[in-house]
Amino acid sequence: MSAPCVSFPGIRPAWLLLGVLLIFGWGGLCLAGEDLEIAVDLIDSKAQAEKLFKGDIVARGLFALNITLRNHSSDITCTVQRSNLLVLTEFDVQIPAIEARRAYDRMMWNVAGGPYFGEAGLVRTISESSRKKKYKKTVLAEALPETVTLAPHEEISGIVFFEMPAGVKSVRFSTLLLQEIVNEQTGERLYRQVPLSQ
Amino acid sequence: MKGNKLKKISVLVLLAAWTVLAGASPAPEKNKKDQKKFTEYKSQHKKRGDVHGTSFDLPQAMVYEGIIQAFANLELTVNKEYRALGYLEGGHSRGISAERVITWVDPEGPRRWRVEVRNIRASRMGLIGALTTKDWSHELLAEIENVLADKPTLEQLQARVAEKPDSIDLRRQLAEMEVQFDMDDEAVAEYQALLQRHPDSLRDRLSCAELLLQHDRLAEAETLFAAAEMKDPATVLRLSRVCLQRENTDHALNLLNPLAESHPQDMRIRFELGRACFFSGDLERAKSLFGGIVTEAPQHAFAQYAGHWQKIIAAVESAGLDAPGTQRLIGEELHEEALNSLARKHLTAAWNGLPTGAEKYKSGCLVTEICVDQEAYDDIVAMVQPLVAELKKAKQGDMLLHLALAYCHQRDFVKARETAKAAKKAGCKDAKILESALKYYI
Repeated sequence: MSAPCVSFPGIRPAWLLLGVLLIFGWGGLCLAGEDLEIAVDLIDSKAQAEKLFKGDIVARGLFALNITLRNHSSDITCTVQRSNLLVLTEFDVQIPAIEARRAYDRMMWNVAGGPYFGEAGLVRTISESSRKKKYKKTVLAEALPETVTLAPHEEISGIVFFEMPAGVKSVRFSTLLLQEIVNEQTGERLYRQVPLSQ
Repeated sequence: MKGNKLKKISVLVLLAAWTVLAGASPAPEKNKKDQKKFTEYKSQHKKRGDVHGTSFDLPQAMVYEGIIQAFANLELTVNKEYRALGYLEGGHSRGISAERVITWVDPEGPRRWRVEVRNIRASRMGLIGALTTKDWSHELLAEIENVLADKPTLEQLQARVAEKPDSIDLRRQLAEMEVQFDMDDEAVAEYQALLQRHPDSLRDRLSCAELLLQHDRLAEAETLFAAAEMKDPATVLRLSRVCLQRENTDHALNLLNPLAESHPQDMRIRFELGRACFFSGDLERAKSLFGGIVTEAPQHAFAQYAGHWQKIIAAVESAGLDAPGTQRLIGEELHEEALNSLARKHLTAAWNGLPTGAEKYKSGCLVTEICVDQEAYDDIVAMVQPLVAELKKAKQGDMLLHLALAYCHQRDFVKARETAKAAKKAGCKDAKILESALKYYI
C-alpha cells in the first residue's frame, strides 16, 4: 500500500488538538505554502512487522508508523519532537507515541526468566545476544529521533511506535497528529494532521 | 585418531565455556570514585528487604518517566510495570545470570515521592554466575537523579514564570505540572494567562478547553474558540461529542444540524448526527441517517457502527428503551465508541436490571473498567465489594481485578493483594502481574 502523501496549501486551519479528524477536502497548515510534506505508512499486521522488524510487534500490543518528513522550503528550518506525535482514532481516543526503547523492551525476554534461562546457559546467551542485536538493528536503529530538525530541502524517515490501547481494534481510520512543529526562524508553532489511510 | 577426537572435543568445550563466560561478563562500570553512593536501609515495606532510595519534589508521573528514561540510558530492560502503583521491574540479563532491578515510587509527603530500588542477582551456575553480576542500585538512582535534575519543582517553575511571564514554554510546563498535581483550577488560570499573551496557540487553547470540559464548564470551553473556528468541523464534532456525554442533546443537535447541511457527504458528521437524534428520541431520523451510511458507504469506517445502531434501534422498538437488554446494547456500543461517561450510565442500568448471568457480569465488568479509567475507585469499591463472594464463585476475575486496583488507590495493599489473588484464581491473567507486584507493598 503506498503511503498517503499530503501537502497542504498555506491556509491556516482552526483545528482541535484533541478531536481532529480527517475532513475531506479541508486545507491544512504549512510553514509557508507547500513546504512541509508528510507521508505515513501504517504497520499493524504480523506480516508487515515480521518483514520490517524481524519480529511480531503486533503480538506484543504495538503498532508503528513509518513517517517521512520532507521540508520543501528554501529558507525555513523546522523542528518536530517525537513526544508531540499522537494518533487520534475516529472516536477521539488519543494514542501518544512511545520511545523506541519501550518497543525494544517489549520484544525482549524477561530478565532472569523466559526461555532457556540458566538451564542451557550457552543457548540462552547466544539467543539473547542475537535477539538484542536483531532488535537494536530493526527497532532502535530505524526509529525516528526524539528531536527531528529539518533544514531547507532536507528529508528524514523513521519509525514511531505506539501501544494499541485495550478496546481499540484498529487504527486504520485514525489520524496522525503533529501537535507542534516549530519554525526555527520565526518561533511560530504550527500543527498538522495526516490520515493513516486513504 | 582417538587422541585427535579428544583434542577436538576439549577445544569445543573450552570454546563453549569461554563463550558463556564472555557473554556473561559484567557490563562496564563507571569509575567507582565518581559514582554517587546511596545509603542502604530496610524499607518500611518489609517484603522489599534492603533497598536504596532517594526522594523528589516532582509529580509522580514525572518521577516515573524519569525512572523509565534512566532504565533506557543504562540499557536495562523494562519487563513489568504498574504505572498506577509506581512499580517497575526489569534488569539486565547475561544468559546464565542476570540482575533483576525493581523500583517503587511511593508518596512521602505532599507533592513528594520516594523512589526505592532493589537489585536482585540471579544465577543458575552458582558462584561462577554470581561473580558476573553487579548491583545497579547506585548507578540507577544516580541516573534517575541525573535525568530529573533539570526538572524544576512547582515552586521553581512558578518563580521562573514570574521572571519570564511571556514565555509560552514555561507557562505551559507550569500548567501541565499543576494538572499532574491535581491543581486543575490553578492550571486553568495558568492557561488563561498564557492565552492572553499567546492567543494564537491552539494547542494550549485546546488543553484548557479539555480541562474545562472535565469540570463541566462547557460554556467557558466554547468561548475559547472564536466564531470562525466554531464552523470548523473537527471542533464542532468534538464539542458535540462532549455535549452528548453531558446529555445536553439539544445543544449537540444545534451544533450538528448546520454542519450536516454544509457537509452532506461527510459520513462522520452524518453518523454523529444520527446518534444525537437517537438520544433526542428522533428514532426515524436516526434510522434514516444510519441506513444512509450503510447503504451508500458500506466500506466506510462508520458503516459498521451505523449497523450496530440500527440493531439498537430495532431493540428499542421491540423491547423498549429502558429494558435492561437494550440498555446493555447501548452501553456496550457507547463504550466501543469511547463515550465512556455516557456508556457508564447505560451499563449501570443494565447491571442493576439484568438477571444474574453472563450479560449482567459483562455489563458490570465494563462499568468497573470505565471507573478505573476515570479513577472513580470509590465507586468500584461501593459496587463490587458486597459481591466479592458471588464474583469469586462466578469466576469474574476482571471485576475482582478492578476492585484490587481500587484498593491499591486507597493504599489498602493487604486487601488489594487478597483480591488480586482471588482474581487470578478466577482466571484473570493480568491479576498475576498485579499480585506479584503487590507482595512488595506489604
